[in-house]
Amino acid sequence: MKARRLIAFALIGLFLIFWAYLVFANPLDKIVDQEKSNAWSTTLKADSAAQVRLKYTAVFFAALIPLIVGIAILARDPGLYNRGVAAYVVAALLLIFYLSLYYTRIFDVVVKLYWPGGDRWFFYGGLYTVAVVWGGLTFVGRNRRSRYQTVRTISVMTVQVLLAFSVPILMRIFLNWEYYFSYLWPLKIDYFYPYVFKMHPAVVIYSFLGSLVMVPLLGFFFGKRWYCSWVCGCGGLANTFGDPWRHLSSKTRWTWKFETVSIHSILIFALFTTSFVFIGSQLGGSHPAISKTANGARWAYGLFVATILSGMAGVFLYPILGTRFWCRFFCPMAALLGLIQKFGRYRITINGKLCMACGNCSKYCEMGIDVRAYAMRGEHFRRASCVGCGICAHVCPRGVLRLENGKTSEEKLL
Amino acid sequence: MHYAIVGNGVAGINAAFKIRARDTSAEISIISDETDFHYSRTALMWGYTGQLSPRDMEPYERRIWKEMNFRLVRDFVERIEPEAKVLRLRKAGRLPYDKLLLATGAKANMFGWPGQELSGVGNFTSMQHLEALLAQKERIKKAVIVGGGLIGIELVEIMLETGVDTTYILREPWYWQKMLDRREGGIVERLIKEHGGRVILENEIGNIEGRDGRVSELVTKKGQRLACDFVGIAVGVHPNTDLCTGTKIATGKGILTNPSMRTSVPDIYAAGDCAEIRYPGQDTGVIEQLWYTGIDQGKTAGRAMLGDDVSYRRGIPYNAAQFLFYDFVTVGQMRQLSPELTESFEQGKWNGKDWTCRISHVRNEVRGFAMLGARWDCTVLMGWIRERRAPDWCVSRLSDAVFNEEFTALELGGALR
Repeated sequence: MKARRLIAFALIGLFLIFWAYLVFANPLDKIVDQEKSNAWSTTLKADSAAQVRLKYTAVFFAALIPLIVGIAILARDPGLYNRGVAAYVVAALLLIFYLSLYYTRIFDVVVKLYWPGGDRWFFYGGLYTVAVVWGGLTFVGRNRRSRYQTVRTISVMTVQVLLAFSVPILMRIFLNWEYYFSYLWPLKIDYFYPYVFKMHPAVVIYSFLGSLVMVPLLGFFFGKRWYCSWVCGCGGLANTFGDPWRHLSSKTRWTWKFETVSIHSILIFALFTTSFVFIGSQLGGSHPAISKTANGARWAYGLFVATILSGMAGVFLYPILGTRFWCRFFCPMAALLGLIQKFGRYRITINGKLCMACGNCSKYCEMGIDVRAYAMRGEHFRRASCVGCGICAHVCPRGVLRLENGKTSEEKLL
Repeated sequence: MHYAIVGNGVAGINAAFKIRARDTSAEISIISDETDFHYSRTALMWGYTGQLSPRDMEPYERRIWKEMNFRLVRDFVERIEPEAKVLRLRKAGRLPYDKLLLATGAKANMFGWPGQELSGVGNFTSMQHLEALLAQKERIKKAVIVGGGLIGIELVEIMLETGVDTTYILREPWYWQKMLDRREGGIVERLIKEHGGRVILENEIGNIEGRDGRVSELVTKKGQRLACDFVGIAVGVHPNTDLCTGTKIATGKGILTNPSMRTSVPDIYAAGDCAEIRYPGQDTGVIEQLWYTGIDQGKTAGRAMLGDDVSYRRGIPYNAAQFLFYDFVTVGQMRQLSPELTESFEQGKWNGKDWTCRISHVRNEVRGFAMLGARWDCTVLMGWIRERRAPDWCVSRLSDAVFNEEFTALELGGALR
């Protein structure tokens, strides 16, 4: 294993050299410049466009080959899933990917060579979809004994493929604008920003009814799981590609305390930002102090919450802190749904005193809920953070746990 | 007041919690030679497969021991001196106590087979057994597991899961004769075969042969020779009464207690797998060696040590198990242990899996359920037994008791309806 790990690290090192060259020397831009034409423009002559594409794509994929081989070797290293060296290496690579995605033009250039109307977010969407589908298929393979897991994963994969990828692309091609129907305010805070009002009325209605009626109603009847583990892309990636890291979530009481503070703070921040941006746009330029606050909040939320916490940390920390880092500690949608869930129908019921405290449920809870503590006491429970992935019930060797949103046994008696 | 508890298993820990809940100032010592902290013995099998680490098996955060102000002593109790109210520890020497709880658990049976001392022959009931097994994990290519109970099949399961060529030897004509009937045992046997294992019925260990101190072959009583590099022996456990030898603490099969978990010696109590409870007017005691009976006995002992007038009663027995991802639930009395009962049996399929439902009854009152292949809400089933429902009534309401995951509703067969 050690020798293989060294080979993997060497290959990854090779990739890093290549990548640093691509990022800092900008050779891709130079190729385009040499052709003395703008790669993004459709005016590129057919033959030279083909040549540019070929060179560009060759360089890009040459850089990726050692990376892919290196990661394929590391994928078999148990340390990758147990905070070994490999885990830190992969986390660092993911961070580099995100920094390149957000702060370099590399991916923009690649997409625009083939599709001038596209941008890096379509590249990212494609990669994300591949990760969800591939991870989802392997997940279903591992957990095919459970029909709940199979159905849930098919839902997540379908939503990702259609609503979070194909539909936006088709919209961009045919309408020249796009909308992600799988995302709703407050997870995608922009969907209450004034620019959405200028979109098609159907979208405006969807955004408002979706966030203000559908989210709380479904949340009340089915718990937050209808969104967090059946629809959401963040949760979708965590439960498919990220699944081998789910057990790394911290189960300590300290983390629980931190989580309650952090997630509700972000919810308040989201509400604050949305309202200020909204008020600011209504008032126009008449109150500069409000516009200034609105702009500041919008910028800060965009950078710290949307980009750093949700976009980057939410994924690159998988191998270190587990999969639901963003969902558990920061997601405003999870916070809102959690509050609804506390008073809603969804709960986890415990089968008498059958629990023998083995700990599989707690270990594999991605939200770091100490499920075992409830199961040992025979206590049915509602926890705001539970995303209803159902793994606790699935791994329980005594059939102690069940996710429920039907009538309680007391209600049935009435 | 100094409460000393020997054994940090589930009975000892629950007694300690009970005492601490009512007496915040008492000194409570928990002595164990096995581990530093309480862990769930039931989780050992996942320690072998790597699904759980030893730390994952600890049901409580470690900070709780400080918060509860327990003194955790990692030491071996060599003897008790009840007259002087003193324990003799191997490392720390003398430890006086005011009240003592023996929660020493059980030990695996070994019936003196030739070769049982060879390396590569082992049991699977303690952290030391897990460590020993993990140390030879790479070396195990062929295993023979002996004994038709839960630990036996756990060993079979972890061996098959780690790709070991496994043979399972049972003395009985089918698996777990004490709890399953022939048809159910047959389903489990088929499961083992489907997972790649071999099953040898109605046979026992003859002797174990080795090379250079390591097991190489197991010879059955009927003369079958099975090459192997690991022999897992799980032919039951017996109460650990070692500490009582040479003292006035009365023992039978286990440490004898009254229903308040008191032993024959004042201020000494026993609970859990080591205890044999003798109810007044009965000359055989009750030994219960389940996880939840350990919890309940521990709690009772804790209250008794606090001075409460309590008596332990088990209530309707229940248990659950999983054989190679196949669920089993039993509630109440079944024919195996209560031959006066009549049983009806149904079976069907859902999701391509067999399920069975066996209901025991007498005078048209339901007494017990044994169900394989699906998950059942044991509180509902227990309610039906308590309400003395008719078996037909239970069958017609069976879907109320299903505890399967969502989307896996049980399709009850026509015969049952």
